[in-house]
Amino acid sequence: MLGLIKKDFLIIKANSKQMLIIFAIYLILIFQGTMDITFVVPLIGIMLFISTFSYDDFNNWNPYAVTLPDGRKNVVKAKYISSVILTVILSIVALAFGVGVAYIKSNSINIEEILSSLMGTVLSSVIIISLLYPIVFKFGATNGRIILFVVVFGAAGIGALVAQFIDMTPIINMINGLDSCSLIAIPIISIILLGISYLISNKIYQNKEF
Amino acid sequence: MENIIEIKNLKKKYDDKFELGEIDITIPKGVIVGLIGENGAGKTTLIKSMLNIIKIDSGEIKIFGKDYKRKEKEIKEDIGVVLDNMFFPELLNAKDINNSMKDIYKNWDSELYFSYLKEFDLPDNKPLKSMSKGMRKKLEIVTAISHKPKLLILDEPTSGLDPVVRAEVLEIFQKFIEDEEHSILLSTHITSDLEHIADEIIFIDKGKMLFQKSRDEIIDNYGILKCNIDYFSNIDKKDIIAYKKTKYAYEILVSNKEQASRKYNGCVIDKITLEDLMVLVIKGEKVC
Repeated sequence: MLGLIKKDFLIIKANSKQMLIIFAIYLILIFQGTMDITFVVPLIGIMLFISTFSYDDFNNWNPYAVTLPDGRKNVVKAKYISSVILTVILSIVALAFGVGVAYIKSNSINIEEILSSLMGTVLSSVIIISLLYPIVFKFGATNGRIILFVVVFGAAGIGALVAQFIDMTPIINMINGLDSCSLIAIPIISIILLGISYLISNKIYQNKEF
Repeated sequence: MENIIEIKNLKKKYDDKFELGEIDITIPKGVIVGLIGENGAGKTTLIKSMLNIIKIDSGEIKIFGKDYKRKEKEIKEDIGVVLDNMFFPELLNAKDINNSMKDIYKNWDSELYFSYLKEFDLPDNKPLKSMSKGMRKKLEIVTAISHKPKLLILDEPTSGLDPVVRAEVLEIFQKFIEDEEHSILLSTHITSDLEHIADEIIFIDKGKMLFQKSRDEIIDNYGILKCNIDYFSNIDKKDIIAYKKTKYAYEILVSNKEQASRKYNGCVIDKITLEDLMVLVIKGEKVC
């Protein structure tokens, strides 16, 4: 499995030039105050994750990967583990930048605020990964992205419609409540979400034919 | 002789259009087996079934005497694979492939891998996307043999390669089986390659297995009997496997050319190539 994780990181490394350009654009936006550094984490992370899936599809990697020892099990495991590793690395980078930017701009650092915002973005990364991966394993990278957009916008539309008739205050309160205990709650929620998503992806991949 | 592959009654159905069925194959140690058949005959489906890339509907697959369902991981440690389409990520280079593979196969030998790269003039730092098709295929084959597998399963490994690279690739295969402990199963529609290296031939048509025979048995026994149009009615139907009518003569596929030459001594019997055999069996007319 380590070999498969390495393969994904080697693809990301080979792709890093484009990513650095995108990151540089984001940095300008961050300094201008148009964008929050902690928001960049899921954005770049998801772009990198998806690019590995896209290359797998484009290069016919999956039929070969399942011929490797324990290939079917390890492909899914490796994707989730490398995503977690990448999220952690990007979070550390984001935290360091967040602190740096705050210090340059105002000479004062509110670590708690940065951490809390970072936790929020890590959770959104986890939610997107958890939703996206089973869909991508099932339908492939290109179709998977389209389906994810349909699902997310569909869910948002239904949510907005439901909110017209039902009082959503308890749900909003619950989400706001997460903020106060985010350092404990978010890692736990992330692990549960990723765990469920992994089990679904694994089930899909075990039976998939290429 | 110990068997390296045993397949019994393998079946795989794809909706109503295609069905691979009644496949029984036994492959002994130390041989190169060629899988032939026209495009769409089921060669790739068979190979994919053997590698669990697709799920079989029924049947039994044993490799190295081990049941595939129970010992898949163990079996795959000892198999080297090349599929028909290019499959390595094109952004990577040969060094990256080594970096990744050494943590995938227990027996991966980096030293051996780099020595093969040198032997076959393959660059180790050039991304695959800037390599030629022949180079990429050679790299796939080198990767397939660098964990010292006992069995190679190769789907169209020589297709699309120029004659020089093809000859190099065939040489790799011959070296691989030199010690008689290793075996190769390769599918191809370039049947002339098999005439040089294959010990046995498996012929598949429309998802069914027509036969598994030794190459020598085919080349020594089968033949094409040529007779004029008037003489054709004298040929015993039992002797005709398939036939083709040309403008002035009949070309008849026979399975025992010596006997046929004694029986029909006015006719010419030509040697057969695997290509002739394939074309006559698939496209030729049958008597009954």
